[in-house]
Amino acid sequence: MRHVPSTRAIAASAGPPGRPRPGIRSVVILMTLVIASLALAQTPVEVRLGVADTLVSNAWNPITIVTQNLPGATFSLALTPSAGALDGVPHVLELLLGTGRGVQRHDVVLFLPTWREVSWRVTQGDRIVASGTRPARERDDRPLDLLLSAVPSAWLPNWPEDRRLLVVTLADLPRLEGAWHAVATLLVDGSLPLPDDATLVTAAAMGVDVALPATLSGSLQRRVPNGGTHLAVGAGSLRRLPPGVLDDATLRQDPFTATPSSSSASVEDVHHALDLVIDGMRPATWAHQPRRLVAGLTLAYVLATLLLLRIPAREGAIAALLVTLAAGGASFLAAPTSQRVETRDGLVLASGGVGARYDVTQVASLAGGDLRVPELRAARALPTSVPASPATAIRWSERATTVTLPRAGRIVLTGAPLLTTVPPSVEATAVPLEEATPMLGSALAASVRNLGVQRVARHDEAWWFFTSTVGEAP
Amino acid sequence: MTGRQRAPLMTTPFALFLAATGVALLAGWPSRTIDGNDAWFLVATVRTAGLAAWAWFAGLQAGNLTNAGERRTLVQLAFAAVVTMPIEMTAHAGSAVTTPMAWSLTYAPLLALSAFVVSRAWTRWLHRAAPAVRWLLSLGLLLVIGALDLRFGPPITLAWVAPSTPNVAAVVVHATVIAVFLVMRLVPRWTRRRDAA
Repeated sequence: MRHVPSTRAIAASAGPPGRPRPGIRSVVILMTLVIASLALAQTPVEVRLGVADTLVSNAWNPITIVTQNLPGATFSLALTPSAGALDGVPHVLELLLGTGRGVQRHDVVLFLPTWREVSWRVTQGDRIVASGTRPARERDDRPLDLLLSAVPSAWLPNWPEDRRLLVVTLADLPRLEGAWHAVATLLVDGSLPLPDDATLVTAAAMGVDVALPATLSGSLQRRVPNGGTHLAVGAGSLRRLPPGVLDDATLRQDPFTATPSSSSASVEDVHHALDLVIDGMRPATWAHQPRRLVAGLTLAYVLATLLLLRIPAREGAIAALLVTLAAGGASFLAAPTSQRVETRDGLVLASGGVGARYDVTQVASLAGGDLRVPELRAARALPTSVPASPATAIRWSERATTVTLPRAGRIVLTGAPLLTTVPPSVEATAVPLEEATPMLGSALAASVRNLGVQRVARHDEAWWFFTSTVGEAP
Repeated sequence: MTGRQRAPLMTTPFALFLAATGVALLAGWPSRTIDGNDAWFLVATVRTAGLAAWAWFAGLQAGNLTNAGERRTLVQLAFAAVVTMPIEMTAHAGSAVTTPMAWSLTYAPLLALSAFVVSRAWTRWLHRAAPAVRWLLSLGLLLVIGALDLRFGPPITLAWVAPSTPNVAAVVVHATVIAVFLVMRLVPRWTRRRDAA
């Protein structure tokens, strides 16, 4: 007989009216847990390569990594240059992203040569947390124009097409001074809150043309001139936009009559001057024993041995062995005083009491192998006057660069540009460029003349080039 | 100068070998301080190859030598290895190479002794062959050894690579060859003494 459930039984199994059945409730809870775990499992890493995530090749670029609850994670970036002396030599950056939990931010500045591909990844143990690549088609060596404006649409249509304009927010501006190397212009039209004075002065000092609104506040109001002139600061400049250039969200003038264009040192000009400094720097050399001395002593040893062995019987052999013993003891004196040698030079573009400093180090190692140099540095082409011996690998870590060199290898490394203050004693010893030309060499003198340099000083293993503080707008 | 007056160690091969090692040092020594010093690579090659070649040719003539003559040849080789040590040590110190100096100094005599043993055994084995044939076959043997060494593993006999490539295999091979030689020389002598007793 077939059992037919009663209406009461059906009602009881459906549960109380208005409440979900237990099965449905379990599904809802499960789904909530799944969604919550998915939300929590979202990549807890943010990686930004370049200013506002835009890279400039052949320039120092900021790299920012923000992690959340990733203890023991590491960030690695690999790139292979596609031009120059280091074509094909692998470059690797490895950073330990802290051991603790919570949000952690890491900022480094790295020189990126023209690359075939840049790839990066964040790993925690064997797990790849995040990864990405930048193919060769994305590389561009034009420096950036940064626009900090609430009405970028007013500027964009009039911006020259051959320039790389980025509309940025305050948070996108570089934190480290070296990162401004990739920036040519910073235009702040006043429609958004201004960056703090320190950021603006740092940007200018590092070679950026900083265009500010006509109305300023604080010390900048007093110091940045109005009326078509600029205030040279370090390697760059500060200037004000003409009053009324941006009226009611409409651009009243062509942006490049309103914004600076060439009063600051361009990246190419600085690179050219730096190449000339490298060409002129004292090469790193080893203190080998003079060849004539070695020749004389060897000849004396060979002759003495042969002569002593002409003495018949055992006495001659014993005498020759004694000479051999003495020569063996003295042979250690043939070692050079140092296997690793370094020479330094530098270039400071200074104005208004501050400057952008570019340090150059030439390192040579007789035995070759891995050489560790403090700070993250970029390899540059060797001067033509020294034997070519390219590095076979370059690795960067948190605060050091490790270069793998062949035997008797050498490399020229430059550090990220640094903000430096100009000691009054250095400025006092500066001489006019014309007087310094014999010391500098005509090529370097001509190169820095293009940068607007007027006076030169030599101090702390660097050339200090001074430009005039206030100049006419181009 | 008569044979009695001439010291037995002072021979033409010895003088040539010593001079060649000295010339190698000067040829490899840099004249400019901007250049690296690679003198050791040349000196080590010349010293190793020179000693080994000398030992090989001495081994080829072992059939004509008495036991005393064979012993004198070995003493000459050992003396030449010792006398050229300061030159190699100078090159080693100046070149700042990572190869241990102990290896650099001992590999050459080890290879030389091994070359002498193999060459001597080869000559004894082919004692009925005409001298020209023996020399040709000896050259063939050298080529085979060199080809095998190039083909397999770490360098064991290659005088231009092995001095800068310390490896256990070379020591084991050469030590085994020398040990076999010593056993083959000493066992018959020991057996004869036992029989005589």
